[in-house]
Amino acid sequence: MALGLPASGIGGGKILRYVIWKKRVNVEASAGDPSLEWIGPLNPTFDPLSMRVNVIPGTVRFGGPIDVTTREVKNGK
Amino acid sequence: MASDAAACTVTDLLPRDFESMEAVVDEQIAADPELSRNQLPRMVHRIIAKRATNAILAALNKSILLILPAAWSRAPELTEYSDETKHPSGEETTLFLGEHKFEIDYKPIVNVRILTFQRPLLKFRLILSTQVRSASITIRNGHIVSVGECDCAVEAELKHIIDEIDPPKETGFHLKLKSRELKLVDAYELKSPVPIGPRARSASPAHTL
Repeated sequence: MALGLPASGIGGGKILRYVIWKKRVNVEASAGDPSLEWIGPLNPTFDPLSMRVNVIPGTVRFGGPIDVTTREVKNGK
Repeated sequence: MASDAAACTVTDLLPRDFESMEAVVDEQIAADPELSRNQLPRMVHRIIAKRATNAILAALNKSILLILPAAWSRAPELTEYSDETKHPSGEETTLFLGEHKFEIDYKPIVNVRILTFQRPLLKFRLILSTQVRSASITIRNGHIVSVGECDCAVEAELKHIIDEIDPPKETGFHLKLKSRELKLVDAYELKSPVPIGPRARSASPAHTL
């Protein structure tokens, strides 16, 4: 009697399909400057499933005025 | 200490796994007539969720100390430093900032290509709330060139949104993390100096980064 996981059948087929899909998924991302529209590189080869992330420039909301307590100025050349 | 603070990234404020991500993927695929018609295997939803989580974390793996100057550069109190007639070339000014707070938001959008379908399937809104107790910045030639002696707390929130209108429509997906204390005692030179925006504070308190 053979031991181990079934190579086919419902359980084995599911695992195999999962592995195949997982290998086909291609995601590449790098930390760009979030203040710029950022597009991660895509694998140029065909992938049935791939992703990229765009980080859209955001906004800043200040809770109130900023108290600039002291200034030190050095004049350059 | 400086290196610790400089090393803290947005990703450090977020969990490694987003528990509700798979539910969000399910919802978005179900809401898309073309994608739902294809009846993708359940495992594909799971893969998309996992890969999307990793893609977002990778995209946001950016030092917070590089994001803070981007916010300060839009502060109206600093606007005059973009004016060369007031602050000539070569002048170097160090400003000591008192207590203040601000919120920065970004919208990471995950574009997914499944077979022949390509969609901006998942849209999120990242909000970084920053409470600054004190900070100092150095400005030269209209640019913030370094950050020094910064003491602040930063908190991250990540929300799934359906569209990008302001305010964006949100769903139940909401990750809110405890704040992280950041202390910088030595000056941190910015590799890419941040230009100070010439815009003054308007009636609307939001400034585009």
